[in-house]
Amino acid sequence: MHSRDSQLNNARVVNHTMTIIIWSVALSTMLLPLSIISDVFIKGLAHLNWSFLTEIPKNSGREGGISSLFISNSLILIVCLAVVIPIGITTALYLNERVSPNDKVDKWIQISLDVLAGVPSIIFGLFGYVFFCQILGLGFSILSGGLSLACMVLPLFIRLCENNLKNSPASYREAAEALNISHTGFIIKVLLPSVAEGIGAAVVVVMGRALAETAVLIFTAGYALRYPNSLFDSGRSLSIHIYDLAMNVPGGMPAASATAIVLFLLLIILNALVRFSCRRL
Amino acid sequence: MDFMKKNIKTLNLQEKLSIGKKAATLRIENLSVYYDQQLAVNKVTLDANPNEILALVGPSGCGKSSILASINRMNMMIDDCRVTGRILINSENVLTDQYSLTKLRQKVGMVFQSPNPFPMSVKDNICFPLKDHGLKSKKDREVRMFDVLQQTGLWDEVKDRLNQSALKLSGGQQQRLCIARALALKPQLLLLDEPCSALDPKATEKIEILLQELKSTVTIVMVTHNLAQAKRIAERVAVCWSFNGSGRIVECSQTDIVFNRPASKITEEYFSGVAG
Amino acid sequence: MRTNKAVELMLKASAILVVMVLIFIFSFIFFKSLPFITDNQLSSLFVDDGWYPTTNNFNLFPIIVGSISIMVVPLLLSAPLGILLALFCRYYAPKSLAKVYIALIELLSGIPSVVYGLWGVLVLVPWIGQYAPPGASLLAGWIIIAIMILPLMVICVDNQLALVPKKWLSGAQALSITRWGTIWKIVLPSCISNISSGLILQTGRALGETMAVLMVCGNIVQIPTSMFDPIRTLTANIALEMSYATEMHVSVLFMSGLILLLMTSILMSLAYAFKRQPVE
Repeated sequence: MHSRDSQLNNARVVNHTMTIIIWSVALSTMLLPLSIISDVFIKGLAHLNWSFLTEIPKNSGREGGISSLFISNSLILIVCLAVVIPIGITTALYLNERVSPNDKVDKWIQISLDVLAGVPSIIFGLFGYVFFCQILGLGFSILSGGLSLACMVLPLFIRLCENNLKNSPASYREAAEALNISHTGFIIKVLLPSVAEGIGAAVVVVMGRALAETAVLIFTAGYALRYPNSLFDSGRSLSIHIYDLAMNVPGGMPAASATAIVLFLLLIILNALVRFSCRRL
Repeated sequence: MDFMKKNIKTLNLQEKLSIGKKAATLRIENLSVYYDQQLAVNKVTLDANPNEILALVGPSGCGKSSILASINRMNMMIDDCRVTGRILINSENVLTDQYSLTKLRQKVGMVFQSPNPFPMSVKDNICFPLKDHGLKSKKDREVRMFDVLQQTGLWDEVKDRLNQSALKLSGGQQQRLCIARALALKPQLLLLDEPCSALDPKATEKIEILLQELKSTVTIVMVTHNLAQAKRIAERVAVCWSFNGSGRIVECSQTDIVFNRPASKITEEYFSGVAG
Repeated sequence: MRTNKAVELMLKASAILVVMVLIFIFSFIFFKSLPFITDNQLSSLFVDDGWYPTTNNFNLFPIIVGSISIMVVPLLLSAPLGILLALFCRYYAPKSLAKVYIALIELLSGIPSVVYGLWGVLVLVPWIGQYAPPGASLLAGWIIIAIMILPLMVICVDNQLALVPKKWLSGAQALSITRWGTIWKIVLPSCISNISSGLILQTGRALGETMAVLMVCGNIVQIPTSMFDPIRTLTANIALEMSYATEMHVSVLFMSGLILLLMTSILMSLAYAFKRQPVE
């Protein structure tokens, strides 16, 4: 009896200890990332004002604002999404709607997606620099940057879409099967509308990832600070601006931090959008 | 020439989606269904005739739904499912590859356990399948929609919200919309897989009345858990029972005979609650 | 359903396109590194007199060591922390707090690495520099990477914990087994291999990370003797030298890309090996 009691007590003691450890670790660990955010905010807030958002960068970005970078970055995103969304959705549809499930092609696609998703982003930068910029002759341009970025985020987007399609109610498929609806009609009128919000969320997730990415763009989109005239123009993204100001421009820290705040807020907005659309599902 | 072609096409279409075809006779002979190697339905023989409702009753797992899903070859969606035997609709075997799936699914409508309208407007739920099947004229589609909504008693309830999402209707309305959707293709045989199990008594009653009205135009086979429902609306009842995991029909005859003078001991015990 | 050959074909074509892109990228990187492989002994990557690519000295070894060292310690730091934090969210925190906590973690996981790098340059490097100049060092890299991959690890562990059958937990509760006892004896054993699989995949992120490492590690090519030494990683090396590389130098940079791919592939197959089907 005695030994059993003490064993029970042991379990209770361990349990309480672990509870205390986990609570204190959980609460203290968050202090570090939060202090990172607050450090950057403190440094950057003084530099952040309305004209920072509306003016173009001056003096290598130490002064002026980031308005032209918004345009460049948006164009890069648009090029990226214009490639990723159609290819991503059709590939996800293929994976979800395939007629013959044991196809060898399928297995290869699945493996390719996993491998592609794990490739370090700098490799896409390296590839994009030589292939898009040099061999295809696009040079440092928004187009090269967007296309390289598209290669990087494509696997993620396909996976997200595929998961959404998988979660589409099976009853829709049953009904379409019983009514012998055409497959194309089912996809366009029933399946895609039923997962539209999920795909929207996937687009926003991919936008966030693309917005945060730097390494791919360093050697593909280039560094130009002016307003881009066309997609063949070089244009700097917000993330590259932060990097360049922090590393290559003495005295660029306040502007870098201010840009980081803007980028951070944009990402929070995207994050909120995803949460909002997920809740509605 | 072009005009001729068009004419032929329209004719085919009218044949395909023809109005006023008679209800079908259904005969199932020696039907067996295997999932992987497991025999789920063992040599079942059954018929259903025009102007009647045939109810398939029995405990869960006895193969009722498998029998039903074999009739319009819905089983084909499941991998490793094998069906043997013959299913004759108007004396034509539908289990052969020669029998086109399009023709079969148009001839045989199906309604599922829980209402599954498409995530689109009430109107599109009926018009989209018609359009998809090649009914090109918008007017024809709307006339057909009006007909089936009338027939299912939905018209008065939904005429002001035809363009609203069908998912906003009540469960009972959704199920009647699903029946209307199936009827829009002018089937000769209607399969219902426990159509009322997800509905409240009031909605159930409406569907039962609807089915009574429909049986003059379409042969109805329904699976139900609810013995009282079978007693209320079916002309004939088939009792399904599982023997070592494989379903068989233990008896099939007029409703009052099955309920009052069952031929099989199993039926008697099942109805009195001893077994099942 | 009535299938449409043309549409099926279109879907298949786009799926094949994706595979082609992958094959193309890989073969491209391989062929670009071919000149180096054919002109030099592969062993020159390890025996040359240091990394002086302009004078054809291609000793990558210190850089490979740099890449490996930047990955191992953060894994050891954040893996246990990640598990604890995920357990906290699922079994300890009250529902509302857990929700906020997970939202915060997701937010942190989305912060660009360049922002972490910025903080490193702004705060961490000067702080380490006070004690052990120059400050930009292996240690700075460890700290930044550990902070960066922590949220990813929490999310990945949390996803696995979500798959643990609820009935086991209620069963344990009915027997009044302690919370920690339930976690230690029931929850963790059932999903530890999938958790490991996920954690290894996240380690791949650390290996592939470029910006933060580039900004805080000092980028000096050397085998570190202490954690205060600056180091250079494969990723940083590519980012630093790509812009001015010519001829053989380009080829060796592609070669280092290939090595990076090889290392991530090894991690990925490890992760695959650990993966189990979740229990029903």
